[in-house]
Amino acid sequence: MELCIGTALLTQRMQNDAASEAALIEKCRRQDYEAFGKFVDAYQSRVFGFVRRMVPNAEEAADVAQEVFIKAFQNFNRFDGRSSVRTWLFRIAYHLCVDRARKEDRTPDRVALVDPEEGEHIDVPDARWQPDQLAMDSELYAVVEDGVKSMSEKLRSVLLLHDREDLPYEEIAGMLNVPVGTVKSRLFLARAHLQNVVKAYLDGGEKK
Amino acid sequence: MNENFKNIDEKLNSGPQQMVAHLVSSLPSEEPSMLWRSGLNEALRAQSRKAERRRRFFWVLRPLSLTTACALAALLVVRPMMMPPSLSTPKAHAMVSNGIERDLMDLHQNDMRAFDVGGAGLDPTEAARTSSVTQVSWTDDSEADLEL
Repeated sequence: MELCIGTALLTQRMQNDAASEAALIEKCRRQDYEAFGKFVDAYQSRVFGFVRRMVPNAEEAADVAQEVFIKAFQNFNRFDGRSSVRTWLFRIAYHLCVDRARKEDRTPDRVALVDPEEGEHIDVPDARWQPDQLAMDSELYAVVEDGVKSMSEKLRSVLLLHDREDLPYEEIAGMLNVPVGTVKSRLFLARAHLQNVVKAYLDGGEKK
Repeated sequence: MNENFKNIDEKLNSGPQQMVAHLVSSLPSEEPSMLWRSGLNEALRAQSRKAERRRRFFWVLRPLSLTTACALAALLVVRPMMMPPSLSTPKAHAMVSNGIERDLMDLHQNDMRAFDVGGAGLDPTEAARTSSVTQVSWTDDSEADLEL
């Protein structure tokens, strides 16, 4: 009985959230400054985090993140609702990061596009993979951040959009203009690269 | 092809891959600074003002252009109806223009006839000379009258 009431309340809350988001989007379409401020509040840390990991320089990342929201504000009336507003926003962010990289003519260190050894896995004690403990291991996070930065833009974007921003394969494929299979293989390679980085750190016992 | 997809899906769902996915999703998020947000607000406010100005401009321009277009259309439709029937056809225009030409020709011919009869008249030097001679003779006559 309690479970039913809880589920009903949760469903109602989700519906209310969806309705309020739709109303917010409608106001943003009319370039309502106040409404867009709320939109920025909701997405700024996610967009900033994505851009920060895509663009190596912190100052430049801040500029690009601002540009993302300014572009979104200018073009909100063109948002047709075919994808989620989150996907639309990350599409803008992704393209601005790629444009910036092209302008700067940066070519990040590339990871070879070959399948890693079949069945390879990180040989670590199970306790290490407990989320609570991982959350406390800032050194390991720094290693992962370095691993993310060291991979190619193609792999990094797919890894961040899928594993970090939780976007579905189809939307990422549409955003990057590649087939879903390519998205999956890039994701696999990106994760495999990170596996190797973390494994090397754990085997060596120190940050590379 | 399908087997390849199945294969990659299996690979992506394997333990180590899922662990890396979890690690990436639990990376600490980075909050932008207040300075960043303030700069963004400033830029957005400027954009908002620009958009508002553009909206107002079009709000004024649209009815204005509509009114002008309507007025022009009305003028084009109403004007021929307002003109007298004699002037509203091309033939009438031709007649009018023929009349003016004929008047001009008549005027010219009259001038020519007057020239033939009366000549060109005095030129300015002849006119001056004639005028001084007349004055002298008039003065002389007056003096003689006084002596008498």
